[in-house]
Amino acid sequence: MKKILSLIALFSLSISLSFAEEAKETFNYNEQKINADFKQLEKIEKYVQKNEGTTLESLKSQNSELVSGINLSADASASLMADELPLGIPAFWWGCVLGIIGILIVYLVTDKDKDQTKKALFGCLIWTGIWILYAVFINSLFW
Amino acid sequence: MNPIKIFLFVFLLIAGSQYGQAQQFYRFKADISVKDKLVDGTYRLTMGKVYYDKLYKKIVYKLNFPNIETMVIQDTTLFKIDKTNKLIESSRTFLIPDFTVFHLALTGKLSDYGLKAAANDRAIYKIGKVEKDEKGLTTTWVPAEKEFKKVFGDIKMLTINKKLDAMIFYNAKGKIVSRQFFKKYVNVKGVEFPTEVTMISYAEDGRVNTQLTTYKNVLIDQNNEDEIYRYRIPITKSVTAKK
Repeated sequence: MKKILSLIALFSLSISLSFAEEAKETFNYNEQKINADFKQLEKIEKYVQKNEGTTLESLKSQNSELVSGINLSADASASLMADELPLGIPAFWWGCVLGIIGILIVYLVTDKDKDQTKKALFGCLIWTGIWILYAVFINSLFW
Repeated sequence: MNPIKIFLFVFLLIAGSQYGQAQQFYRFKADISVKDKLVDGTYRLTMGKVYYDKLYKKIVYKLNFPNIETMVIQDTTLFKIDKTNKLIESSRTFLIPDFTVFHLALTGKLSDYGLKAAANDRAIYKIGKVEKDEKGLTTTWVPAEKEFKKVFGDIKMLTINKKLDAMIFYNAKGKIVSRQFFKKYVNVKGVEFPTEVTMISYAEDGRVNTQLTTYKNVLIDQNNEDEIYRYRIPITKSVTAKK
């Protein structure tokens, strides 16, 4: 079970905000593009390394050019971990789409969080209700 | 059999097992820098040091940027501690130390990202296909059981010279959701570790979220700074503490 949770964590970290896209199936690594994307952050990093004790707040208070024209977040925790539900999908949908398995995943991943598990259960019940209504509707068409 | 030969055999056996035990690494420390470019145009830069002890199962981040603070991940909880050693916040996380690049490197499982099940473990993934070309060895891992296929997609893995080089993650519908690259390996005390890890996640509208994690000054099995590796979460909460 621990391994399942670990894999969910792994997937969540990989795709915490992502949905499927027609990306190219390639192992090619475009280092130049990556470096270009982070050129400004690279400069800030070098400055912080040279000037011990520099924080984002102090850079901003100095009106440093390094942080002008760039929207830099002060939330470090989001970079280091994923604090959302698996794959960033709300508990309701886990229950709704995966039923009992979804409820179980939410229950385990949220460390037995009752509120989140209830939401997953609610999703599961809604889905079951819709399915029953659909079945009744289909049956009424033929009988 | 000659008693000398028996003695030599037993001696070599014991020496061999001792050597094997010596290869069990348990501590990792490095300077870490995490750069994020998010789909909404926001950037993040996180710098500091990371400490991980396989036995304590704690990941400790001593950060100096954007703020001077400590973050500890322990038992699915993230603790945020300010520079005066007061607990600012605790929140739930499902990041499990066993699946971090530090743990996998220390346990020698990074080459298959720990997907290969241990002897007594239930396999979540199994090898579906193996191909070899001029780039390296490409292994396609597929969910081992039908129930897992509802949640997990396939994973393609490229290994070069027995080192994990890249991974492609698919969702359960078979579409690519993320690519990860493991570059610039260093060998510290026999532990192979990638000092550049890049993760590219694809958003629905085609934009990408990129994260580049760089490690420097990697230390393996450091025998001081024990108090950081076993970091005790302070009981005192900051005035602004929230849960």
